[in-house]
Amino acid sequence: MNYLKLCLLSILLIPAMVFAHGPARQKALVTMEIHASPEEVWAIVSDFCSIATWNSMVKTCSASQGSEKGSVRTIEYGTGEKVTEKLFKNDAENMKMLYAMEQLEKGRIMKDFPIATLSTTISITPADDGASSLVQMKGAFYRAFPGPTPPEDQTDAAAIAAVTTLYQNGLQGIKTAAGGK
Amino acid sequence: MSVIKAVLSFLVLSWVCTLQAQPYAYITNQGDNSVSVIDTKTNKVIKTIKVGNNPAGVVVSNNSKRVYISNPESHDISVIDTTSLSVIKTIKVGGGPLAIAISPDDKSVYVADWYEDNVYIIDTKSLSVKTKVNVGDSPSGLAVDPNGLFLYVANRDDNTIMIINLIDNIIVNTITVGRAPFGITFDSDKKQLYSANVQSGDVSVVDLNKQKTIKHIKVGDFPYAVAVDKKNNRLFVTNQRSNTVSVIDRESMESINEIEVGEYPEGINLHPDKTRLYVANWFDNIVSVIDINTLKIIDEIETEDGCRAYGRFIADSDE
Repeated sequence: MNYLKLCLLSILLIPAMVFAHGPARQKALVTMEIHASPEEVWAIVSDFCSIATWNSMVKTCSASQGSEKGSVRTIEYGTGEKVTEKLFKNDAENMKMLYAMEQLEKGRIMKDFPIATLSTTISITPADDGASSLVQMKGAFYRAFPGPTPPEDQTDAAAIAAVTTLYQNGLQGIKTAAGGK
Repeated sequence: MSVIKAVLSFLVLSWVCTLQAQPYAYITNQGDNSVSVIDTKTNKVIKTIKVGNNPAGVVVSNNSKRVYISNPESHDISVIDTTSLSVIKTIKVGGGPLAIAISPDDKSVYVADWYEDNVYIIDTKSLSVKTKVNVGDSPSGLAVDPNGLFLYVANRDDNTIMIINLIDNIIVNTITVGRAPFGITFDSDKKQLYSANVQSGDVSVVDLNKQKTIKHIKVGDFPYAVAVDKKNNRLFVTNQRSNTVSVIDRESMESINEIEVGEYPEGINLHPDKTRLYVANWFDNIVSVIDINTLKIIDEIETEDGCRAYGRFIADSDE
């Protein structure tokens, strides 16, 4: 009887499974000091598709309108998963860039990257009188799992860990590209 | 005895008047499972109240006595008593309660559940669920008309607004708006609804006499919620990804200005004194206070992690 109830319940829950993402938006924030001038660092990141050169988790990138605002890039992660991301801000004056993953198709959960609707801000602020840079990557995103009880590898915590790893990897790559210090 | 009574009632009355003059703002902190209570006279947080998990939606009752908070992750509503500033009851509701609104007579609270695609109706006397109405895909915004006859529901993934007749709780019409409508606000003078459409980056104006969308007003990236300033004939819209508040002329229905605020601005309310706006910046954990004449930020109030304040978070304010 209980088993039957459970079956009925799971059938009732199916409509809930089609929702696009989790209910509570999450944050990730990684900052790294890079011993290169802000201009040098900006030159590395401001090209919208340069991500394929400084983030080893990204295999390929192609962009519709280069680094213009509104450009859409398609990136392929090392896992083979492909996503599109739109450039919302490329502000050379304030050395700030904002791009966001376009919403995933309903029900899609990426391998090793259980997130949906990630928006990323990269900002560079001068340190040590301009001889050095503080580079920050900030993300706002939802976990991809739509229901109230995600499996362990698709929880909010798993989503935060995945984005944090992506950013750490990216910042490490930018550092290497800027001379490694 | 009667002297004591008189003194007491005078004290209560004067206290109530003070409350009305300088209401509190109740800010949901989604990352901290709490609500920051801001005294809008001093713009200081006077108390932080623990509620359910990942609180997002908020509505202050019309008589200012209660605040209802939606907690999507613990699937319940926290009921706060504004005298003791404490949670007096937790009501289990659905699988993902988010948007929340209240009837003009304070007798019913409406909760949109965006997992179950239902609107739950809670009786505020018994503090229990009375009934539910099945709506469109991912309901995310609610508004009530001042007569209490109709409830408006924005269905984010259907790009529609549904109208529910509150006499018999049936859907009487469905109107198409922009892509991914989120926050919706009722304009009682103009008999219009405004929906902030996250994906199309605009605000749809729905004429309720004609029962159709009459205009799409371009705003910033990822608009979230709309506040109406009837006195100065303006609308204010939070743009999550532009980190701005768009200023719209309510007559020409055009965007006329954009105010820089913090990162991920979400909930927005006009203070009942009609001189300032309160905006919750989710990423920065800061509430910005904007002077509506100069359009400048005049104060910033630190909250706990992930302030959202989605709904009517200041008593007595127009939604």
